[in-house]
Amino acid sequence: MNRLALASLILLGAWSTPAAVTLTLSAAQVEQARAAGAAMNVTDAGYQLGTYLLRQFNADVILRPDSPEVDGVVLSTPFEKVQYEAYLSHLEAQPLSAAQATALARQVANTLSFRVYTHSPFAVDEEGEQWQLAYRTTPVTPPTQRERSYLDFFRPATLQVGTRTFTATPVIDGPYVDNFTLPSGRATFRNLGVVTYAFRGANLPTTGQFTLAFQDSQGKAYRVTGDLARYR
Amino acid sequence: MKQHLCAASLLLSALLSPALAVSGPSQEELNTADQATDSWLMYNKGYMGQRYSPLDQVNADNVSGLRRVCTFDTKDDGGFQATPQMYKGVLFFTQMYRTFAIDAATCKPLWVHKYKPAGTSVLTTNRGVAIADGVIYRGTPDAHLIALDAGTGKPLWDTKVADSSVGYFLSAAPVVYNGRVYIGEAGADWGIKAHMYAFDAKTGKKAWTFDLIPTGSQYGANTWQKADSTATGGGSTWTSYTIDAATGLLYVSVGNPAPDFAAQYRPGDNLFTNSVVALNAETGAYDHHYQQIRNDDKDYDTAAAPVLYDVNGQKRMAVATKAGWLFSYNETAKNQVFKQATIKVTNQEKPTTRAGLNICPNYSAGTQWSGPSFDQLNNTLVVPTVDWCGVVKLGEVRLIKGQLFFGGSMQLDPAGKAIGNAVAFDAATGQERWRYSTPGVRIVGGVTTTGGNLTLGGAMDGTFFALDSRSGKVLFKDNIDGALIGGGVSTYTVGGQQYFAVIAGNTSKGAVSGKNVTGRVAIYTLR
Repeated sequence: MNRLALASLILLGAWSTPAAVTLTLSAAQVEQARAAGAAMNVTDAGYQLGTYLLRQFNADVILRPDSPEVDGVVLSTPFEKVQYEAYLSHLEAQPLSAAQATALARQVANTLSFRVYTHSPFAVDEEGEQWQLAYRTTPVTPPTQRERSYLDFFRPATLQVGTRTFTATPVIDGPYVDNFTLPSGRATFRNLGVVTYAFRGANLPTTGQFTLAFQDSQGKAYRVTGDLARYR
Repeated sequence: MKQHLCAASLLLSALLSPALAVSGPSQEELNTADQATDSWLMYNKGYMGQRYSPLDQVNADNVSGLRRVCTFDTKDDGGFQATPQMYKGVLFFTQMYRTFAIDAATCKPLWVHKYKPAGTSVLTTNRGVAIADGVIYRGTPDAHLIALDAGTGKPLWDTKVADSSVGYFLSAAPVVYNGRVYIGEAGADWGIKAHMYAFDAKTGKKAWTFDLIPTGSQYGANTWQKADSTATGGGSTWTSYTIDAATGLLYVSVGNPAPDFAAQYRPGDNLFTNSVVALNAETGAYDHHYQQIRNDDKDYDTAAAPVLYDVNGQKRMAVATKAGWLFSYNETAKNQVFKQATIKVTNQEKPTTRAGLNICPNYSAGTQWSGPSFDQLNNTLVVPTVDWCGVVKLGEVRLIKGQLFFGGSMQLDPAGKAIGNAVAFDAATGQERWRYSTPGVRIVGGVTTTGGNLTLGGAMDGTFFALDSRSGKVLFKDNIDGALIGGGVSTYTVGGQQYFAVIAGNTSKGAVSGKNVTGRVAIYTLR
């Protein structure tokens, strides 16, 4: 695709005012999403979430006192998912082809996902002990394909749109160890993980106010709201 | 900063034998340390960092007659990465919080000082001391610089260099030059922002600071395109320092930027990370630098100290890196002369992927804390280096200010696949001359060359070896009680007899699986 066509697609994407989430992307919309992800600078900036970032609880490399383990919640519509994968594929220097983008769009059709970005409430070297303590009160099936961590204690989430309620179970990506800074300046290693709640069905609403409700590993409740009509 | 003995800093200074009186080495002795035969004054022997001794009493013809004279056991299984430093018949070395003085010919303990930390420590590795005018200087795991009486181990002063609770520590062996003690911090992987310092040798008062992560109007600040990212910029000084006494320049190897893998969080070249920076030792002013990797995303530190040497009158500086490269620079023209792979290097320039990128070396391989030895006799640079690969995966995602930044994790190949090497390269051209390899056993400790055509080093199965510097042929081997060798070999004379001192025990506390053997110094001489 030449630069002019790419720019046109991005502009088209930016200028079109969504009135409803599109659960099944057209070929043109797949290309717009692919182009938008590819256009993001992969060397000098991160992936820009824009309005898909519904709530951000921690906004820095510093962990504020009593800040929750959830760093932010992102709505991932089929359009955003293709855009996101296009960005990642450029970061990997393996750009998503048109055919791959189409296949991905087909795969995520009729799905509204929420990506919950989290960090562990305890230092990495305390995770094992904390897992055992949590297991006594909340028995979970120990994971076999990843390390035991706080992520195992995330539970199903609900999505309410109008009078309709949908349920999704958590899908875990993690844990990954990373460095944080406490307000004192002290360094601390925490686990990171992304919890994805994917609500699926051809009958999913595409407009209306919504509320995502879930609890973190410590049982803290979150209610994140938005308007589906604002997203593509 | 506290002068003349801080009670908190002294847990133990046990006099194990009558007090010594040590008044040197003088600045003149320090200036000639690279060529000295009766001492080993610095981590890398002398200011030029050559790790070469002209001694030839023990040589390729008779080295098979070496025997172990004695062994000093520190009784501690923590990381042991120093090179024994010798002055006036006394060996000085450090292990974590303790500083030791033992007889350099008999292993007889003379004194030990145990530092009581004032703060927390994220890593207790320590690589050695500086010696000058009867005083021993060392950094501590809680980021203090302390001075001890070289004759007794009695503390003289204690200066807090940085706040260890935020991840700073001092692992490098300092150097002393013209009344100043030079040392910088480590801790990049804990998100610190490192500095290089000079302190007054008599008082511990700070003389100058050089920011290894420049900000504001400082030179190099524009290589951090996102100013926020400098707050956790990294840039450790891990091992020791090199000085050109003729020009008064101090050469500092600077480690990786942080966060280690999320390079897009810190766009730009990220000076002075993964570089050797040359500073005016008197003022701390920037002079010049060479960067080995820009915007590193694989934790490929420039960790080992550089070496200065001459090639037909041309002044050169060489440095070996964790990425598995040996660089040589012309210090007159200020340009790179060669860049030579010391091991297999693959996929270093490629971005990390979710599926995993096979990469050689992994971040625990290449040249770690021990740099090249310059063999004056054969005009070679002998480099300890580990051939060991891994897979780096794009994994962790960090949400910061509305953007997602991607890091990764490196999975090392099984340790049995690692190949230790001591490799000799032509110091002028970088052409490989010979290679000694130990499949399955890493070579990370300091290599030393001598005027007796010997290359001496140690491997991580406890084997102390002597090679023929002309061919790499093994001439002598002895296993030091199965103690992993992560430290270096020094050589010197006592009473006219040549000795070798080898540090063995462990590389890093907790970093090596299997049974740890306590730290020990083994001393060898001819039968």
